[in-house]
Amino acid sequence: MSDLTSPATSEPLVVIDRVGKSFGAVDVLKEVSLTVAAGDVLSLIGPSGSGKTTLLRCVNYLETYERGLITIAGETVGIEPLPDGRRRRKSDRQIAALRAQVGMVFQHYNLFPHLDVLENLTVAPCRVHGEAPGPVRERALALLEQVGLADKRHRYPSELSGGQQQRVAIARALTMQPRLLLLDEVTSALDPELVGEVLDVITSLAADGITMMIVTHEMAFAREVSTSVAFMADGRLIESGAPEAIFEAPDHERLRSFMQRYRAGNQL
Amino acid sequence: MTTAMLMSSGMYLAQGALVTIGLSLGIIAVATVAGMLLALLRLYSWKPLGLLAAAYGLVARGVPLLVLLIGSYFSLPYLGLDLPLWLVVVLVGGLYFGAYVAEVFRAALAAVPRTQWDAGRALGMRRVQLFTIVILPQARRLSLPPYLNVALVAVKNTSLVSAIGGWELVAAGREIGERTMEILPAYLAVAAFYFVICFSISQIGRHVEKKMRYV
Amino acid sequence: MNLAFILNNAPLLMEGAAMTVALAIGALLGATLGGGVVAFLRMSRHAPLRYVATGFVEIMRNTPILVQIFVLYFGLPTLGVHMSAFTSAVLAMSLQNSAYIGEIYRAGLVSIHPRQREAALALGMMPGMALRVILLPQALRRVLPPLGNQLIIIIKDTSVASTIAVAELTQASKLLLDRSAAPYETFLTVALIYLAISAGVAGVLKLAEWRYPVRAS
Ligand SMILES: Nc1ncnc2c1ncn2[C@@H]1O[C@H](COP(=O)(O)OP(=O)(O)O)[C@@H](O)[C@H]1O
Ligand SMILES: [Mg+2]
Repeated sequence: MSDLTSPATSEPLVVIDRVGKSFGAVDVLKEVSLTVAAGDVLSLIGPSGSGKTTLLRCVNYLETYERGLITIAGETVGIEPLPDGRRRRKSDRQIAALRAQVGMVFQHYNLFPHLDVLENLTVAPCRVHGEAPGPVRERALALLEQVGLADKRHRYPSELSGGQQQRVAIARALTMQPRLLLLDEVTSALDPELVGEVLDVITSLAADGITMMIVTHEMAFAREVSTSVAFMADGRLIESGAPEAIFEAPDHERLRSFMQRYRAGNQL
Repeated sequence: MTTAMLMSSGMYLAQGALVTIGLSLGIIAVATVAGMLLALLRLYSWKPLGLLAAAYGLVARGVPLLVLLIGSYFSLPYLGLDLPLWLVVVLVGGLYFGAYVAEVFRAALAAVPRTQWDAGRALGMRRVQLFTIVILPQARRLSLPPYLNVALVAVKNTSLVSAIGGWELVAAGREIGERTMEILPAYLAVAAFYFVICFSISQIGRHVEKKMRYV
Repeated sequence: MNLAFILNNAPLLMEGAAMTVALAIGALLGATLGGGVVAFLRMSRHAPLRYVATGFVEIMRNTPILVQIFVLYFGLPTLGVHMSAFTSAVLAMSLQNSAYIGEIYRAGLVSIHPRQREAALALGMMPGMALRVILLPQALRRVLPPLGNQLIIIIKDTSVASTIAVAELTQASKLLLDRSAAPYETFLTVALIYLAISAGVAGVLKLAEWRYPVRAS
């Protein structure tokens, strides 16, 4: 047996420990605790405004958080707790180094419009890691192949459909070879007929063992692809567990009614 | 400098400023009429006329106003036209800024959605009616901030009149500088007068723009 | 038409045109850099810097270039600061256009959606790199057209330098007008030279806009 593929005994990759965050007077995250092991696919579900996006953005420190601590592979995210209990923001360099290990895919793709598809993929590895262009290009082309867009490598984002742009955005995040991929409602801005092609790509990544945290409203997809599911409401983590448990035997009233509403909506 | 001298210098500059304002108003009036005409020609007239108007715009916007002023000032007497300097300035300045005003109006008219024309036609309006009742009022709102900006540039450019021997704010400032030997304060005072006039125009523009955002 | 007169004086006109171009290039360089400073200060975190920059922009925008040139060329010597006519003209035009170009830069930068910066940061770029590699290249494409318009305004404004006897094109035409009885010819020729310079600049800009197009996101 190889030690490289048996992380079972070690620390989880992501540890979210009693994290709290406020926008002004409003607490949008309240004592949220979660862990994600390497290879896990965690889906975050819950009503709109429950804090899913905010939590995801805290994980790569696009948002700061005031209470608790997030660690990735043992390293604290964005914040250095001092012995006297105070918290210090890490340097821009440290924060950038962490973000380089965490990929993020946004609801609105956020591709760079002035760069073609291939350049969108290669710009960060070349500039941030200082990798040689040759190998990065090859890796990028392989990833474009995987998301089915190798033939579009010299197109500009504005020349692609929404679904294609989102697949490029996923490939762009992966070209950095992140240890963790964050996906925030990546199909919400898409026309219904384009949702499937993006979900298929994510499913194939899950099969490859890529660690992911996914915010989604696609329940059938969440159930199929996740190793665990977490339900949030009003900034709290209400319930988490295996997909079967969450979808079939929810403990909490909030989750039951959320599921009911969802099913009703889906049948209409 | 004594207080009395300061007072009389201030009054003298104020007279210059009045001339500047008068010239500006004349130029803007001519420019508005010329600009509207040119914009209409470009948008709604017989094609060759539209091209002619476009060519006029390119020429007027490619040659410095000072050159046009000097040129007409020297040339008109040869044509047997002995116009007073202020009239030359108002006409030449007005035609020059007319090209800029035309761009402003053209952009504003073109920015009114095609569907507004359709809606008007569906109500059975005739072309001219439709234009004056539906299109023009909408375009006027859109064009006001850039129009005021042209007006502001026109005010500043009346300073060129001093370079062809006319008397206005800058010339008044030069005289005071020469008389009192306080050259720097004299020109700074001139600048202050311009600032008050132009800043007022900018503020009106900003006010209008802010109000427009909420409609 | 008295073409012989124009041809005889072609060297004078050409030297004037060259001086006009030199003034414009000097002012453009000064204003491109100065505009960067203005934009940087206008977007600064520190309120006092923002106020200073805003004040500068307002003063520059609301006073005529002619008066600014006179302040530098006639006014400053009374304080013991002496500059050549050429330097005064270039400096005044650089200052005034720094205000305009600074605003153009700023508008270009704020027109780029904050999501672009976020996407760059999420890929591990430092803020400075995000600005250089992702934001500025997009902003530069967007400011190209207004920058071109400003350059044409600068070229026309160089004519004001004739009021302090810089030997540029307008000054050359004044000399010829004084010297001759061929006002239309002189006037037409000078106008055509200005038009040619402006048209040349406009052409180069169209080329640049075609080469570096603004792409939708
Ligand atoms: N930048 C912000 N400023 C103020 N409030 C915010 C901001 N971003 C999000 N919020 C608030 O935080 C709460 C959680 O938002 P979000 O994380 O986007 O929820 P979700 O992704 O679950 O829909 C909402 O009430 C939202 O209004
Ligand atoms: Mg969200």
